[in-house]
Amino acid sequence: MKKILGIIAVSLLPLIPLTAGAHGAAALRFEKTVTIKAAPAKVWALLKDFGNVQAWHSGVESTTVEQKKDENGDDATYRTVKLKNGGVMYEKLRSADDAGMRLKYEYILDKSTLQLANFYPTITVTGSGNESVVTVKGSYTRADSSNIPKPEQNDDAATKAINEFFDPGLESLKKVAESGK
Amino acid sequence: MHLEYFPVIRRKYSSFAAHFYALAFAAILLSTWSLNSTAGNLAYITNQGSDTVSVLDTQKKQITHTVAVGKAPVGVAIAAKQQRVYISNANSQTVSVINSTTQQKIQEIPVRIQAVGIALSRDENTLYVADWGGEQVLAIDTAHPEKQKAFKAGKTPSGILVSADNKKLFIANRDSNDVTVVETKTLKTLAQVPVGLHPFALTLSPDGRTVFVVNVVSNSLTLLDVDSYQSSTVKTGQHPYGVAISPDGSWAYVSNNHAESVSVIDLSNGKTIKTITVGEFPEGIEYDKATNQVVVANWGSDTVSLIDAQSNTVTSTITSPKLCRSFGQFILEAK
Repeated sequence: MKKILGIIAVSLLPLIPLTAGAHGAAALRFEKTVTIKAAPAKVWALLKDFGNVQAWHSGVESTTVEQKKDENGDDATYRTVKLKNGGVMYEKLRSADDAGMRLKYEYILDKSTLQLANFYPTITVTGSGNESVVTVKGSYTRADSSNIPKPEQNDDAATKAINEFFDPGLESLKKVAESGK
Repeated sequence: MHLEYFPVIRRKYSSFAAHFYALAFAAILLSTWSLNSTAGNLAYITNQGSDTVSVLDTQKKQITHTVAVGKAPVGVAIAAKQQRVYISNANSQTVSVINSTTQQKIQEIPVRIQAVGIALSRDENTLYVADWGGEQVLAIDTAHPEKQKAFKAGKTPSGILVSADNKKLFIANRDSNDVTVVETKTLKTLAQVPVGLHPFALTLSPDGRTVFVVNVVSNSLTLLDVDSYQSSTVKTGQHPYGVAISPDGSWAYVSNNHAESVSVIDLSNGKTIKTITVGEFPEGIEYDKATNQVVVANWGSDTVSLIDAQSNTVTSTITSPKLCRSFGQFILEAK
């Protein structure tokens, strides 16, 4: 081995770019919270309704739900979220836990337009009486996993995409939940 | 030799002797000190979010050192004979070398790839580093780290390990759903073995006969025979990211990245006998033989869980700086 290494000096193979679907080696983490003056059950009812994102997110045009087999052959629920700005998010429901008021889903880059990958958000509602705390957290990576990512698909672009979706989303969730409806 | 040179030589010699004795004395002091201060095995915890490595004494259950390394450290390879620890840094595209007696970074090796999976040949002469962003692995001469040779892997090579006989390198290819077996002597592919969806981390059974591979999307663990490549599969929890095997080969401990838990799997029947709650996004996991603890790095909670392997309960949760991972085999056994 040492001999082989000695004879052949630094000779890196040309780097082969990967298609979308793969992701950056170092995943990123995010967490956002909003406090809402509304009963946790009311807030949870809005969030757990997987096919009705437009009910609480002002940037969402429509949501379409479909049932199909996932990559492991198990029954699963997917949704297509159409944004008012023309964007599309295709997502798979992983769990909706009523007792813990916790929703988990997965964002699938291949059929979406927001430039981030391996995105697994968890939305939790806690609180009591007329006050709720909504926490959104999860891991994500940039869309371009190659060693020199394109600027529109790098770590910063992925973080920007998350902020642009959740910041106005949590704001409008608060408005909707606090309204008399 | 002329006579007049003798005084010079004598002076040099006596100066050398004085230094020698002083150094020897210092070495004795140092070794006594280090025996007292680091009694247990050392777990090297990579902190992806703070560009450091925490050195965790598994006996004391304390972090004794924090070492600055490259950007976004991920993987660990232990060179016990060299007294070196190699750390793969995904974002600086380097490998940091830590002296495991002083716990100081002594070298930064440029590799120009998103370094993730990292492993050493059994003789510690060759360091293998997987390129997350390419379909290749590098073989690096540890004595001359500028000598690097790339060879073919599958898509998004992740975990890598060298067989007990040093003849084969196993590469888990996350995005081609297979394991590449490479002959270490020639760096040629011997086999491409299909496993589950998104194989990520792998480890070797204590008897060296079986490679264990976690399949992230299939929620399963593949047991692969090192010679025949025959395989079997057992179920894990959600999104398995790491696996450790007990020294007797009876139990597998799997970190379930999306279930905040570790599955304890009876390898005689593939059944999960216990699911232990740990921190969020648990990743790197290894069995510490000296203390019979399972060490788990929780990426989402910035903590390390220590699980007592007798009772299968968490006995300590230790804070480690941001986004800890410890991908690979990360425990250095004390002599």
